[in-house]
Amino acid sequence: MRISGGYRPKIPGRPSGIVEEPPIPRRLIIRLQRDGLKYRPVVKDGQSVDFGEVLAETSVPGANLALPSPAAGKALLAEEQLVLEQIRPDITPLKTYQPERITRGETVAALARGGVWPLFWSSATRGMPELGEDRKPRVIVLNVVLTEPFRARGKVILRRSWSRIIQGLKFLPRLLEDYGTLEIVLTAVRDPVARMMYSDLAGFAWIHFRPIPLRYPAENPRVLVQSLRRSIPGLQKDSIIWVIDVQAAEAVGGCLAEGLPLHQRVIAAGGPGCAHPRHLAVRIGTPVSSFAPESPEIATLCGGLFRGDRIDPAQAAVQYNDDAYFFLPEGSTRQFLSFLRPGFDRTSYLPCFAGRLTGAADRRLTTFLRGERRPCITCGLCEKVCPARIMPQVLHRYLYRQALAEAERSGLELCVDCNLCTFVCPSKIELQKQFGEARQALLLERAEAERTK
Amino acid sequence: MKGLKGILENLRPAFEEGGRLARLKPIFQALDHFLFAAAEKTPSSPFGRDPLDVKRYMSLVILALLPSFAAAVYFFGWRVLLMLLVSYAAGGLVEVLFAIIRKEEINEGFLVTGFIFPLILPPGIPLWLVAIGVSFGVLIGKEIFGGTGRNLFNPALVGRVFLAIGYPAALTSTWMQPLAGPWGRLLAPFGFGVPDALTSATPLGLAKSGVLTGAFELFVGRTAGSAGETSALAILLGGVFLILVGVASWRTVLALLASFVGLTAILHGLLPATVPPVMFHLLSGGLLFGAFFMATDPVSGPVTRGGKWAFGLLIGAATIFIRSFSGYVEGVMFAILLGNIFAPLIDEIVIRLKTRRYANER
Repeated sequence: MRISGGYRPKIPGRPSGIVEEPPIPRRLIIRLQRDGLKYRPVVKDGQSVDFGEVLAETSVPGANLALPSPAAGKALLAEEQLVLEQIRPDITPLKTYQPERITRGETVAALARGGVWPLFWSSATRGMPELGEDRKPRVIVLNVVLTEPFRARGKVILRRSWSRIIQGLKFLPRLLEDYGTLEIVLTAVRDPVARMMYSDLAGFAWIHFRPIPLRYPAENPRVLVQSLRRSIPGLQKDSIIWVIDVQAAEAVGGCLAEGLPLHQRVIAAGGPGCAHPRHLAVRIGTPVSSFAPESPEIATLCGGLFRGDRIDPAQAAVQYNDDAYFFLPEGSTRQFLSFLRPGFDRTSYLPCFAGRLTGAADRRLTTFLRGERRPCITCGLCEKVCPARIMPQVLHRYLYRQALAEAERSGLELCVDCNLCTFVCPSKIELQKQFGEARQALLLERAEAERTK
Repeated sequence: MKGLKGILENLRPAFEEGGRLARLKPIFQALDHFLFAAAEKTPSSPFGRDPLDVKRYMSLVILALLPSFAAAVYFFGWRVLLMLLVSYAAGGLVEVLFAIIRKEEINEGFLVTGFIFPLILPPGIPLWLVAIGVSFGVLIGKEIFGGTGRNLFNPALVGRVFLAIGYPAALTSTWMQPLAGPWGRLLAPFGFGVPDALTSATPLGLAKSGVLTGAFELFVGRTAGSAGETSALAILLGGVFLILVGVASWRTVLALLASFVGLTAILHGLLPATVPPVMFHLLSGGLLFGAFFMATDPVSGPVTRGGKWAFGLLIGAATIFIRSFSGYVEGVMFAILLGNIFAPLIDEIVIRLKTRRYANER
């Protein structure tokens, strides 16, 4: 499969392949919010809970989604979160299923109950698939490639829990449409992990492998789906495609075959501010402060380099769909005559620094903007890097003069939120923010039109 | 460096809001940001950014212009350096004034305009004309439209055309004959070589009367012409560098040169008497300089990638038509300005074509 645009910068702090398993902390913090949905607690303050017991629920059309308890302990309710104390590490499996003897309804219900369902992404909703929906996906994509710097790498997780992932894959036909296929997206590299997958899955006619270049944002579900639609000719334009990542497949296997609701996440802890970039397998609810560097000069961010958000490590905890935290030094020193230096310690999208010649990584990445804000000089870098094949510089020009309708016509809504344009812009324009606000305005406008109709 | 930083920090309060010199803030800011990298932090995702900024972008253009500048000094003497200083002083004054009036930062774009301008002038031109030309170019070509990034035309070319039309005599009689010999004109101030000889014949002018300059002379640049435009060798050195670092669009350059070479070959085949051969046209006048350094100006060129092809094709074709069938011997500057005029239209067409495809891509 091919993707257009894209970029994968070289930055120190790539998490190593080692997966550490730190002991379970004494307190776990569960936020009563996930993917924008609010959950209401179903346990009482001070109640003791078992492993896997439903802590909180929310109703969506079709069923209830649950947050299962990652450990046994005592639940304390707080504002918008739930704290588990007196943790007991023992794990007692719940009901297990066999792929041959489970109905679709049971599968969906078990996944919703086990906290796994929101890890699925559907092209129909551009988010979590609807539970009650009758239309099944034609294709489920298992994405092994995570190209965004500092995110948990698919292959690391594959190596760690391959048997559980295979278990999970065997349940997927229950969700697929008849004769639907599973497309496994991976890099073309013939490394041991890929070989292992090929040989173990050789017997399954409904599983195909699709190599993709190792370039951000190959893992973006919308980019994947578009690329897939281009490379599978028989695919109808409106056929539904679901995308899951390796951890979701593992969670399906754990939840259905082993009776373990979602209780653990493999997260990457990396970035230039991290002393030992590595992976960690932690219980959900583990406070970020237990692995974050304690320094006010280092910013903690949840997510990868391009889409990650600043968080307060003292407050935050690993939640059900987190897979990466990275640490970025807060910019402090202003370099003398910075733009005149050859730049052996920097590397940019354009080969403008000497670091490109030596293959050096961008060792000066901090929270600095790294330049002054300027009007758009239409250098065209954003158009070159855009994976959605839209023209951010043109959209910017329209939005600069408040021409929302023109921006809409010029593909504003095709933007996949990869944030690459904002990353490469030499004029340091906050394109992503501008586009996000414009789309919000567009939605409001449409809702208004709907209401007055 | 610590001391320098200390001085700047001591001065800073005076230029901040409410300070005694708050009006002159753009000057302080420009100096501050020139010496030390800016300290602003990323307000939104992505929180780490690419190291490339406009300062670096523009300084690479100036770096690429250095070979042409060196060749100009070599062939036409230290006068060119003087022209550069005058251009920076006069144009910089306009830029700073407008930054103060608009309360915006001083833009790096001017450093490129001010550097290019003396290089596209006849080396013997009176210095006051340099000052007038660059001021006009920056004022009318750029500031009126809102400054760097919003200008329709290449400011250096606007200034150049203003001089060509307003002071035709001064511009057609101030060409200089470069000196032969290993030192060129470098030692002229110390009494070596001959006094500056003004002439009115550039290779393109001579060609009209049937005299063709040799290809080697043209390639090295030992001919009369605009200061930085004569040496194809120096231009190629800088131009290829600019394309390799990705600052100049290879699409524009390739399209421009391809259409120019193709059309010239056809016209030379049809009318060998009026149109000299391809090699001569390619190396003479300001064609290469314009192709690598002025048509590739991102601001006044088309915004879209597809548009760059059309833009280059148009300029290449217009250049040879003006050179062959008009009263002017040189056509590049008019052709590029013509391209600037058409750029928004080209963009509009490309955007329409591209957005039509979007309907299928939801």
